[in-house]
Amino acid sequence: MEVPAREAGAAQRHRPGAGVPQGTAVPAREAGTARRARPGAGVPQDPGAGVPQDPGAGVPQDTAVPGQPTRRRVLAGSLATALMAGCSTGPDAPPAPDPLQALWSAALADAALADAAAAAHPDLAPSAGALAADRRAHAESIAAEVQRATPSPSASSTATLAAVVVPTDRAPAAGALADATRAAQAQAAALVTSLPRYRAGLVASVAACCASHLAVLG
Amino acid sequence: MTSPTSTPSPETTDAVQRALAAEHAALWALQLVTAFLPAQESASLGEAATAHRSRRDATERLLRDRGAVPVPAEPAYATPARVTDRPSALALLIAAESDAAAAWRSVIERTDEAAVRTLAVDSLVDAAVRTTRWRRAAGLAPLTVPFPGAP
Repeated sequence: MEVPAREAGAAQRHRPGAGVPQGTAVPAREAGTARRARPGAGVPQDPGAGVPQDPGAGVPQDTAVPGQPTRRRVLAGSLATALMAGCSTGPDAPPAPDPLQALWSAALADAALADAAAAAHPDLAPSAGALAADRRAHAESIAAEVQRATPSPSASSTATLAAVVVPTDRAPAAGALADATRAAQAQAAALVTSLPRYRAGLVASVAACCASHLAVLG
Repeated sequence: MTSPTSTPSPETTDAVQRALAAEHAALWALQLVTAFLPAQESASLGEAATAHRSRRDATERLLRDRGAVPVPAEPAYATPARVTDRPSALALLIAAESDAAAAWRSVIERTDEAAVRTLAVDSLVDAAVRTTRWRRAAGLAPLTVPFPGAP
């Protein structure tokens, strides 16, 4: 039996800014939430984590040059644009959106919900905070894969989402977290048999992570 | 997804064999730790053993259906550390489940067969959940990782 790969996993979950695109396309409810990680907050880089092991894909690494649009910003814009475009119809309708986009937006929404639940209910903070961190990591890896598959140079959007509403009572709040996590597990697992290999592995791990959180949330 | 043909993919078969080996190792670990965990954890151990036996059997059937001879269990396995008490026993279980998770995710990335992927994702999910439960029993943090089984 191999020595456990625990350290790698531990490093991944502390990746700075995981899954929080820094552009205007960030869902409005992301703004101002607590526990928002900052890029470059003294955490070692984690090269390759969640990035497809696809030699020749040539995905550029994120660079955190102040004032410059990062890949995340560009990505956030292109994803939101695609999501909005997906609502249009007619002969000029764009191609079907990437099947991972729904997973991306669900991951961000869950992270925002978990952050809000942690802020409103301190005794939920440990489990909700961990859920928020993992769901942000999911959003980042999914976004990287979507961007790899369909690079888009444009980045402009004013997409906003509804504000997060967390039940004021603890039990319903915990229930809302569990419901969202259960739905996320099912959403990811349902894609495992239909996606290309790397993507199938990625969404399978997302499903397994959500199942792990359910075991904690009860 | 394509269905199995008369010539099953050797890549898929090899990955499934490695997952079976991980299931054998997990069962061995569960047996080994029994003496070091208190009685109140025997129910969890029993559930885990039942689940792994079920996976092992399903995996062996899958391999035979592909015309492969399932790899047998080893008499013993190297452990990350000597198992002498409850913490080291839980550490072994965590390592075994993490190995199983990695093996099953690897299967998913090495097959286009829907049935194989379904077995693999179910196994990956279960291994991740058990990892979290053992980590909680051990009082370790964090309880979860964002991508169980990821290389």
